[in-house]
Amino acid sequence: MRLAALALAVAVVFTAVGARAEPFRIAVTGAKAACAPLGGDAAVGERAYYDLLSKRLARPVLKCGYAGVADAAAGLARGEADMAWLDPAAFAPVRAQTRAILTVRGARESNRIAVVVAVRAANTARDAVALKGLSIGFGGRSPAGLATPQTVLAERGLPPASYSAKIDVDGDQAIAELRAGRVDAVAVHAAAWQRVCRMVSPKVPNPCADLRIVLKARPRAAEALVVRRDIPDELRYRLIGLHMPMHLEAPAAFAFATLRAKDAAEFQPAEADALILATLK
Amino acid sequence: MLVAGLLALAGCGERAPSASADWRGEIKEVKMAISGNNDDPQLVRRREVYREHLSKALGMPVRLYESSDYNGVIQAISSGQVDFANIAGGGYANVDAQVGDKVAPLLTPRQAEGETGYYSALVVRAASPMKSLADMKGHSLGYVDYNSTSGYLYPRAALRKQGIDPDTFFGKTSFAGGHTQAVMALANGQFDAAILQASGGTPETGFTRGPLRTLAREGLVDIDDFRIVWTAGPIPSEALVARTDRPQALIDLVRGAMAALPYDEPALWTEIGQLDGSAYTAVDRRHYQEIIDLRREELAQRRGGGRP
Repeated sequence: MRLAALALAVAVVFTAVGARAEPFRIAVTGAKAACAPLGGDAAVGERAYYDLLSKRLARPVLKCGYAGVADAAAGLARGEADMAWLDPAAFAPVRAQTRAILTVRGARESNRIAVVVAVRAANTARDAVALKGLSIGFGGRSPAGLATPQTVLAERGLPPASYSAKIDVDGDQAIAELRAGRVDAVAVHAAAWQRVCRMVSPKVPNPCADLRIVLKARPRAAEALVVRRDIPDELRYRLIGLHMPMHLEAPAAFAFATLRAKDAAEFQPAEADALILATLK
Repeated sequence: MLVAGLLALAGCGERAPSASADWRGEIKEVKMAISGNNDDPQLVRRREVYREHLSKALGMPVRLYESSDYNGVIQAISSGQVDFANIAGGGYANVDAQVGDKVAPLLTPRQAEGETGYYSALVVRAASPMKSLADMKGHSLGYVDYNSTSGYLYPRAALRKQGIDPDTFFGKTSFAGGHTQAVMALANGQFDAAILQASGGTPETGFTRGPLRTLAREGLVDIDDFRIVWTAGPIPSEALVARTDRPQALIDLVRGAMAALPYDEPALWTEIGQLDGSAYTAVDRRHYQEIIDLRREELAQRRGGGRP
């Protein structure tokens, strides 16, 4: 009888320990502080955010203080924290251990959509820098048509002052102008490129065989939520899945979580290397 | 195929919401219904690649149930026989009318320029004398399906807003049964016009996606043999919807894995038929309110004895 009671007690303790979930630790900047639950003085939005994460991840969520963003990145890489907001400079040294998972889209911004920079097939340019001093066509004045392509070019050493911009009505016209030889290159978003260059009839399998892509890339994120690369996919996807509808489901938590972003509209997923200059195939 | 699949699923139906952290003990596989009416056989083949990707991402088997008609998907998600479904706005409105908040929209595609909608296009043969909507008076029209948003529900409401009664304006109307069937029936002269889905653009820019373009790429029709004479839209795009009685952790996991796809696997994203430069954005019921209201009105009118 005593043995059975002991066995039961061991089983209960074992189950309780097993069921206790690992805490999820968020690195924040300001002052160095050990990971701890939110204090009683936490603001309403901060409380809402931590409570939401705790409920949806079914584990305690702790706040870990670091002096600066580089320290937070290092702490994340060392495994002291699980998630942090990083910028490109802080991310670069810890790129091997960490990856971006989410960015914030501003209300008047396009998605971080891919941009295609292309020239006529006979052009010898092999990268964006080779277009310095030449004329580049853009497909419209919308954020996706102009601002995003210009950002991608500027990130690669081509600020607007370094080329002659020709802004057309849309991507179709910009590409037509390239074909007609009235511009040296185009920088259009991927959908505009696809509209013109996707196969419409098997008789013409490659409608843009006369053109050549020199760059396809998304704009680099200015900031991103970053996690360690070794976290399970399930946790990464659940973090994405709970952040994306936050502006709809928990506005106070969203306002806190996106405090640093200007005019935040929504969270968006991000590729692992969103904080570096990467190219797409 | 779906019918057989759904019969096999009988009894799976509704579940009590789970508060358990160990939700994987309750869910052994994810069941997702998709409309298999699609006009592109290649797309159907690519879905297998998509299913494999999703299974890997979720860490559990994913079973896709393809329905050859809209109603199959609607009934599968309404009855709880599947956990998730990809469904057009009008289909979701129908589900909402049946089960309310037991099903909720999670994600919808957002295009490069920010649009989250698509269009209905009234299409005629290029050689047709019809140049405008007014020319269609007394002529025959093919709708896609009663449960089609772009091929029935939305254009009819848009016509009414323009002062045209779709039940009396056209000479004869009928359902083709799907977008592919509607294109082929139009090509064969069965109708004078058909109402089709058009996306990947606007009436101003032209469209890059839709059944006409898909069948043209397959070499089954020539895009130059058709002409758009009228459009209505934008219509809120299709949604990934979920049963809300499934574990929240599963819902978050599926939403995250699906939304990450264009970033994790950009080539696969376009291979499964999504437009380059598009990505998912989170939505809730409010995004589909207009369609929900239209469906309610349509149902009320149908009970009053409308056509077809």
